[in-house]
Formats: sequence, structure tokens, C-alpha cells
Amino acid sequence: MYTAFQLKERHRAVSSAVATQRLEGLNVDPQTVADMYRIADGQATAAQVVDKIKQRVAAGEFRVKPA
Amino acid sequence: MAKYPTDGSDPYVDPQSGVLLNLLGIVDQAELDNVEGALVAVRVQELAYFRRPAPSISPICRPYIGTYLGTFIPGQGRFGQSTFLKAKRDLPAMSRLRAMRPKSQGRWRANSFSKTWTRRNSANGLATILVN
Repeated sequence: MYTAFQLKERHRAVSSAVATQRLEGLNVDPQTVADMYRIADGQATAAQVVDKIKQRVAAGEFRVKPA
Repeated sequence: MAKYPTDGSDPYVDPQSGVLLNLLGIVDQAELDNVEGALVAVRVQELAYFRRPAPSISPICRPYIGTYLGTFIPGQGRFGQSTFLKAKRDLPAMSRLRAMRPKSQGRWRANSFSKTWTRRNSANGLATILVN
């Protein structure tokens, strides 16, 4: 579907997006990063991943457990 | 704990937790940060993949677009109408264009434009003037 060059650029966009969030002082969880690579590979859409994140929010996956 | 100092009169924060009101109903700042990190990262990635579609412009008009007086409007530039007529009205520019006419290419044509160059020569010359 994508050429090797396009895939490289799309994967670079994932790294760039994660780095942008870190600069903002926010972290991106590994599950979301994996989903972002699926978007980059054309196996999922951004809308699907956003819906999945919302479901995970509802399931309480993003809650911080007290130490 | 709230990320920013707020007072009780701020309508955009949750009165109990002090966390910014959000569509997901999150009242814990750490959880909100985690969710924000994930959602914004996906949207940033989506923006990175967005490419603005190229405007549909006549190939004849393309040399004028974006170079002459900044009059470009996507999809509305057409040869023989606004852009080219403005170029013809700009007499100093046209004089310079004629002065730059190389003899090897300077072939006057008695067509409907009467004493104008071929479109290619006009386009190249005008683009050169405007760039300089």
C-alpha cells in the first residue's frame, strides 16, 4: 500500500508526535504508541484509535494507581 | 490536584477537584494528563499525514499564479480573465517584459491579442520580472 519511503516518513511522524507530547510534559502510553504505528501502516484509522482510547478511558485504564 | 491555580468562581473547572472540565468527565489531573497525551498524539499524527489538495488551475495560468500581486485565489485563476488582464494593465511591467525580449525568441504574432508574444514567452518573462 505504501512505499518504503512513505512508510519511513509515516513512522517518523509517530516519533515526532510522541516527542511533541513529551516536550509538553505529557506521556504517551505504550498501547497508544502501538496503535499509532498501526495507523502509520494503514491498518487502522485515527478515528478508530480515538474511539479505542475513549473506551479505555471508560474502562479506567488511564487512571493512576496510588503508590 | 489541579494543574493550575484556580478560584471557586472559575466556571471552567470542576468545583470539587479543580480540574479543567472535559467531555470525558475526568476529575483527576493525572488521569487527564494521560488521556490528553494519548489523544493529542493521535491527532498530531493525523495532522502530519494531511496534505492540502492541489488547486485546479489551468496550465496556461500557472506561471502567473502566486507571482503577480498575490492575487491568487484557489481554483479561480483563469487565463484571459482577471490575472492576465491585470498583467496587461501594468504597463511598466509589460515594458520591462518587452525590453527583456531575446531576439532569438522575439517573434511578434498577429493574433487576437495583436502584437503580443507567444504565451510561453510572456509567462516566462513576467515570472522573471516578478521574481527579481
